[in-house]
Amino acid sequence: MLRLEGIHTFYGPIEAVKGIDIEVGQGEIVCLIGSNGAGKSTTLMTISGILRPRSGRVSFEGRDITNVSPHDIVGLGISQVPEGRRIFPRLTVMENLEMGAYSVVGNGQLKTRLEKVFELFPVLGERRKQLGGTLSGGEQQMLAIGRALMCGPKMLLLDEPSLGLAPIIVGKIFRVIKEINDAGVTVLLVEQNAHAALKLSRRGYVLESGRVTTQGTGQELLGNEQVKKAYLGE
Amino acid sequence: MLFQQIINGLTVGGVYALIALGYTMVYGILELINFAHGEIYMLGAYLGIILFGFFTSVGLTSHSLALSFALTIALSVLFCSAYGFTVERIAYKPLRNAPRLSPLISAIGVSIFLQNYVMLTQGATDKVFPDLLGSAGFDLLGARITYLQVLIIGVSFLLMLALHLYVTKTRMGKAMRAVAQDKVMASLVGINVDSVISVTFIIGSGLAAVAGIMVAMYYGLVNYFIGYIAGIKAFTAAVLGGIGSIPGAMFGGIFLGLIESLGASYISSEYKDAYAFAVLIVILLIRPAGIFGKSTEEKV
Ligand SMILES: Nc1ncnc2c1ncn2[C@@H]1O[C@H](COP(=O)(O)OP(=O)(O)OP(=O)(O)O)[C@@H](O)[C@H]1O
Ligand SMILES: [Mg+2]
Repeated sequence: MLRLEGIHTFYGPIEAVKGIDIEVGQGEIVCLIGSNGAGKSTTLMTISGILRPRSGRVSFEGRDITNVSPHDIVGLGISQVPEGRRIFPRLTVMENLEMGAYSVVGNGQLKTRLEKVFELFPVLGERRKQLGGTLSGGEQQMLAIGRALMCGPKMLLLDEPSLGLAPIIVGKIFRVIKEINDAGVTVLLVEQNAHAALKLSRRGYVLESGRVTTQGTGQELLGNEQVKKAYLGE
Repeated sequence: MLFQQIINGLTVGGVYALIALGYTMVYGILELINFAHGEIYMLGAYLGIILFGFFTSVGLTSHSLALSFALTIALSVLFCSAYGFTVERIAYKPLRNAPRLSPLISAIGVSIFLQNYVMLTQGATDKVFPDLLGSAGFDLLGARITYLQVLIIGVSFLLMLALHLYVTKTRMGKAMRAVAQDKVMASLVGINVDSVISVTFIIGSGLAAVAGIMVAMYYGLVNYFIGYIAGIKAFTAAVLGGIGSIPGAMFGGIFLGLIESLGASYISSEYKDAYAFAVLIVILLIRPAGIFGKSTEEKV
């Protein structure tokens, strides 16, 4: 469904992603693990069109999207929950969700999507009039995920959704990701919490300084000695 | 006496507020001080004179003053919006990723260009706006209020209300606020950031055009240099209210108008232009981010 071929992405002279190939099949959960600065966020931003790769090709459902603008990529069905959540702090919860549906023309489906999000995260319904910036970290993460779902994406990119959250909330977030995937949304998940991510994922890639060093099924990677040492703290 | 000064202050203040809104909206989104904005206001005033003169010469004004006037405003707004749009596309958009000083210099360049363009095509001497309503008016609470003042105050407040509703209630208005808060995230939800920036310039320029025509009517005279001082005053108003804040620009403009008017009558009219800056200095000492401004720590 999504395919990255030989992607090189630079920040000025700095090469952050050095020729990676990644594939995500329809309906899968695929995770991308790697330590700080490995190039995970850069990869997601390249898929979303915020960063342009210097070379290589991104294709989605067989279509080359390497040079498609970010807002059109959302329109094609790829939605991102970025690192740090990036809630619009001075828009209300409701307005944040409305912005999530910005690419959807006509609001026939808007109400049902909104109801789904409130069902997934009832706390957002209770706080719909509150400013995004006043929510707790966990609530902001829920809002970020809810916002990304409002456009009815075919594929969801999640960048470290568990970062900085209490264990209870992390569990809830992972359950929701599973639920979203069960509902038919393909997921590409970036995580530092490698154990939970690999357990959830069908396949995974390990990224080190801008290159894919290991890949395999979630089970394989959980059993891989190097992965255990470097990312699972065993 | 006091009431009279308040009315006079609201009249000028409403106009400052309309211009200040253009500065603050652009700053809110691009963190750019659009020095050319005062010139858009000046163009609005000139277009007002030219268009109204044209409608008078073809006999429309004697037929229907209201229609002639409405068309003058509508077309001037349209022209100025087109100017604002074009200026952004030509002078700012190519510099979107350049160091912050570059678009600022470009803005000063556009400002100088527009001033000279108008001076060369319209002449360096004052142009006169026909006196439509004269000094007709009424007395209220011991003050003399002209119909023109009522018109200016009414139009300014209506436009501010309309803008407020636009920004808080419509899809595009909410997108403008989203873009001002986080451009990357706005793109990630599917907002075309470039179009939102264009809309911002179009709206700001339209408001400036209306301000330009109203000032031309109020003072009766227009020259190619009026954008400079009005621009500085309106910019001061925007900073006073907290640059980037829409309610701040509205408040700052009206506050500035009142200060000038009261200062001129109760202290001395010789220093009329200085009061604005004196107040600005005092406010910035107490609240560096302006009255409605957000302190920088908050802006993550
Ligand atoms: N805006 C930027 N300008 C310059 N270099 C950057 C920028 N953003 C990231 N980098 C560099 O690119 C490399 C990859 O960064 P990236 O954010 O993609 O890593 P990451 O895997 O997401 O790390 P983390 O787990 O910390 O989020 C790092 O070396 C980083 O220093
Ligand atoms: Mg990252």
